[in-house]
Amino acid sequence: MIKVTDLHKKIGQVQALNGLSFAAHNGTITGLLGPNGAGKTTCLRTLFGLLKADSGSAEIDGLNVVSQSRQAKQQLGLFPDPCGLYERLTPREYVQFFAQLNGMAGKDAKDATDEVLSLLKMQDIADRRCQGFSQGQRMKTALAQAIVHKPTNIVLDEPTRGLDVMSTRVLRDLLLMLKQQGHCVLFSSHVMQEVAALCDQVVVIAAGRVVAQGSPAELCLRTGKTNLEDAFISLIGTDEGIAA
Amino acid sequence: MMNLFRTLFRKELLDASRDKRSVMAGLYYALGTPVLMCLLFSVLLKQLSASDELLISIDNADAAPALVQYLANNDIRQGEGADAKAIRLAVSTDFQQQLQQGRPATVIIDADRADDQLRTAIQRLERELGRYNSEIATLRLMARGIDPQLMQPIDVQMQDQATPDSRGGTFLGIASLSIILTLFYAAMNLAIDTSAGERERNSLTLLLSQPLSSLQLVLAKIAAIACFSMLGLVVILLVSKFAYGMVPWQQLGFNISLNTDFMLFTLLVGLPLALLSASLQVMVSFVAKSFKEAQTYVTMVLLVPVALSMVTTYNIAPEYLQWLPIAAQQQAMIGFLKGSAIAMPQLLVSSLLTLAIFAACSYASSRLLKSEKVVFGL
Amino acid sequence: MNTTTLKHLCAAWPLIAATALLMPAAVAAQQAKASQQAAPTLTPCYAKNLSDRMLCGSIRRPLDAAAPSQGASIDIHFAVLPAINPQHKQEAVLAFAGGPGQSAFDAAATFAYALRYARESRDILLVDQRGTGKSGLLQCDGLDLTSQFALDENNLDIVSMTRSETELCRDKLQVDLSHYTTVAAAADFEAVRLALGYQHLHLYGGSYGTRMAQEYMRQYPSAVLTATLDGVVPFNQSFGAMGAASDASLEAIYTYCDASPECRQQFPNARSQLQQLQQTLTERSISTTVRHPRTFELIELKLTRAKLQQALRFALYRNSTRAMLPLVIDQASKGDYSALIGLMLAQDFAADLSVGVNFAVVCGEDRPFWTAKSQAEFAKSYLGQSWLQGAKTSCDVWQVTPVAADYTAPLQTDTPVLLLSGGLDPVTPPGWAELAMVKMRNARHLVAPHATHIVASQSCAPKLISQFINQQSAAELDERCLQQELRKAFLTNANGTAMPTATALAASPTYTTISAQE
Repeated sequence: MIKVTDLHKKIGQVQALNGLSFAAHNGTITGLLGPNGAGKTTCLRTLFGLLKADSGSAEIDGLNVVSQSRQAKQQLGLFPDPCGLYERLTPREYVQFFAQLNGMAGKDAKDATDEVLSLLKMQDIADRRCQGFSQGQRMKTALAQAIVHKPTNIVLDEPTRGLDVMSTRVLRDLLLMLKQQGHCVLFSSHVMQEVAALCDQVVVIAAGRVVAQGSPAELCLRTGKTNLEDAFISLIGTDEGIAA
Repeated sequence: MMNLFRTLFRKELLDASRDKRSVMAGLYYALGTPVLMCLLFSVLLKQLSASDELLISIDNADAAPALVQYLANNDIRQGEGADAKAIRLAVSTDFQQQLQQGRPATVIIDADRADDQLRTAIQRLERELGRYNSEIATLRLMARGIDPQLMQPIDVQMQDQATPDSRGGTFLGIASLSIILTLFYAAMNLAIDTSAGERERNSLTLLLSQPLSSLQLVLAKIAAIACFSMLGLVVILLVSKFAYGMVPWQQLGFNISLNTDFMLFTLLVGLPLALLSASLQVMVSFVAKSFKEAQTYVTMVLLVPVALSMVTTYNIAPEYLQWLPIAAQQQAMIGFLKGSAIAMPQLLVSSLLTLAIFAACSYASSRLLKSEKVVFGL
Repeated sequence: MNTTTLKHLCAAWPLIAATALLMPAAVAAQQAKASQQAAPTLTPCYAKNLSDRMLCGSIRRPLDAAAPSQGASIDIHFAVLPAINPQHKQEAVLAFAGGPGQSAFDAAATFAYALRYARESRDILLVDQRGTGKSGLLQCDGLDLTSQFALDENNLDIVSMTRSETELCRDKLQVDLSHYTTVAAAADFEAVRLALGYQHLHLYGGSYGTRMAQEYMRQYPSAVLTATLDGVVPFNQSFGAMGAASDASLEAIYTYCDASPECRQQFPNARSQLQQLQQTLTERSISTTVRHPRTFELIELKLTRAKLQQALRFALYRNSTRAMLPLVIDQASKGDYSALIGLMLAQDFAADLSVGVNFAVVCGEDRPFWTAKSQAEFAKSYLGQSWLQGAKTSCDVWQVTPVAADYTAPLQTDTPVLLLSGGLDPVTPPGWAELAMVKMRNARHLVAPHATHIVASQSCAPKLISQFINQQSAAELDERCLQQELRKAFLTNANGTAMPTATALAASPTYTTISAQE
């Protein structure tokens, strides 16, 4: 469960977040949809504790990300954009490293790593160095890293960027599986199809605040449009920065 | 806490050790410098050491056969060709008459004293002429029934505190300078890579999003870099031992021998410096906005240890500098090599200062990592 | 060591024997139980005319090796001149001083020079032999110069004077010199070696030190890797034979003078001038007043044959003083003794020698082996005769126990030995080295024809010694450099040497002008 309440953040001269509030629940996939520059990444960075909100709060499973940062972060799996791989490490080393960072002891971390590598069908690349990986392999590695410590909440920043069809499908299946397992999945995207296909709930952001929230169907209903794209454009008042 | 640090440290070590280019760049310094020094010293020594035979040109040698023979018996001879030095000894035409009459007989040394390559040779010639002078004077006094010791009202006895190991002076300074600087050069590329590089590759934000403190992260990085600095130190010590062993020091009456005790001592005093080196360079790299900028800044910052080491090497450091990091450690190393007393207060103070700077830089780096500007390179 | 070594071979020489024995300068042995040897403590120390830092220490040794647990003991002092680049830490070069009775410590500068190349990779070890230097010097003070000058040896009972002075010295020193022979001292050197932990030694001995080195090799053959003997004193030769050596060395000066045009021209009757002076002084002493060489006061001089011979003897040690001789004799023949007084100053060098060790060696190791035939041989020279007389008288007083009868057997060894001799040596001529090496199976004898006593101080020998030590073989040594001319041009006046063209120049206008100004 991820909850942000009335976040304000000014970066330079830009009011990047302007009273942003929403909640993403366990067992659901929540899409953070907004045009470029709407504040999606700023919101997520605030969630990870990388940025400090000027006001407002962010909680993960009820834990404040500033005052209880360590415990909060342990409940969080993170799929960043870009992936942030270590080119000189193998996926196995990389994933295990993050497992340990999240408090798993040696043996547990190793087992968890094996498990997630087989889950993502990565055995063939598990012991190659990341240098020279395809975008799909990078994505898988990053995803493995994000979920290896079995966090309740998984946050993905633009996860489908640059993925081929096959990889996108794998990702989709995976997210659905995570949802099935009761995780709270939050991902940001500006790709409409993806959001429409996956999300139980969509949070539409523009200019640092939530302009609408609800299931794709609800949003369509509310705007009187037949598809999400039209609904979205109607909600933010422009089609700038949106990919179909 | 410790587990987390260990995890981070192990990863940094693994990552850095696979960064062959950076590691090797550091080790090339450690491997190459002693060899270069060895060659340089050998060339220098060849110029400094009084070779067995000194060939000069002697004008009007026939006028002073006894003097010429005296010089020849001390291996200073008339000679020509490539081995002959540009020193001309001109014997005056009335040399023998003057001598016979008990008047000073003139010989002229015609040479360029500013020429470093000639200086020792000129001194040697002057010394031998001085000895000839006193030999003749001794005989003159004896021939008059006067004790020649009357010419020596005071008997100056020099008691040189130097040991064969302690005479190297500047050479020791340069050798220890090259050893100390390893701690900085071996760390340079790795420090930049693990900080500015990590940020540029976007893994820094991911790391910082993990449940860990930035201080742990910084310390782990510094520890890993320091390990490589120490590795560089071990390498340069071993290579130096071998390389300096081949320089014919004994021709100059001194010796630079790096024994095991010295190596252990250097590793001990070098450890705080390695931490300082790593923390300083990491901090500077974080302050820089990009990888390239970091390289520039670090290179500039490294001038400080080089300068400190230089003033120590050439013994031009004012007193207070001897309490500062690098200078004091180097002084201690030189003292150890010389076999003279090591200035313990200075070494202790400077080691504590070194550790304090390490602590300050580490803390500063960890604060930097809390700054959005630094993390996102804004 | 240059001129000073072996000078007290003539300790029984009338002048010195009669005058040198007044005050004991040091008490020989310390009354202390010989204690268990711990590793000696080394402290930095310095020797005269050598600025290099040495490390000094001492070990306690029983005075009487036969009864080590009881009686007196003696502290043997030593100094280590550290190697510049100690590549051979298990080895050292042990240097033996001359005399007998010279302190190795006092000669440190000479050794440092002679062994300067050897020192590049090995420590130099100097040990003050028992009874010398810091190891319980056995010394009795001599007369001051004014009293010496005033002494008229021609009108003295030399024998009884020598006896009474020797008795005085014996009573002051209160030691049994039997414990101070070469044979007795060798064990001290071995004890120092063991205390310092050197596995092997290279030996360098100069003058009497060569005999000490040979005795050490005889007693501890396995400790020695090489031995360099410079100015060799064999076991099978009496010190009495040095009279002949001295005469031959003197004769060489006159041969050289005859062969050199400027000397022959300046001193055409050099030889007969000397003979005439010797004859005169044998018959009568010449009384005169001279300037004291240091105070410039007018003092009395009784010039005698003894004083002349003494001055000649020391003049022979150095090529520079050898070059003065014809001038000195020429002037003395004409009644001007200034230059002769200059030469007589040489005896000042003798001050720090150990009288006790000198007599221990002469009386314990030399005198027991005299035969009627050898005594007759020695007596052929003035020096040999007076030495015999003095030694006989003194040894009767000292009563040193003779060493074993096989002492005079030449050293038999397979160890590499390098023997060095100076062709002009007035005490240990090349022939002595030949005598020493008859039973050495791995020896080489090199002669520097123009060198005097102690070749390493005057020639390229230091390099050869280092090479010999490094190679542990003398076979490869290139001795050509020893041929170099070391003799000096003769002094033709009190200022310097003459040139072949000197007379021509003397007639030149320049010379005349200057003379006119004076």
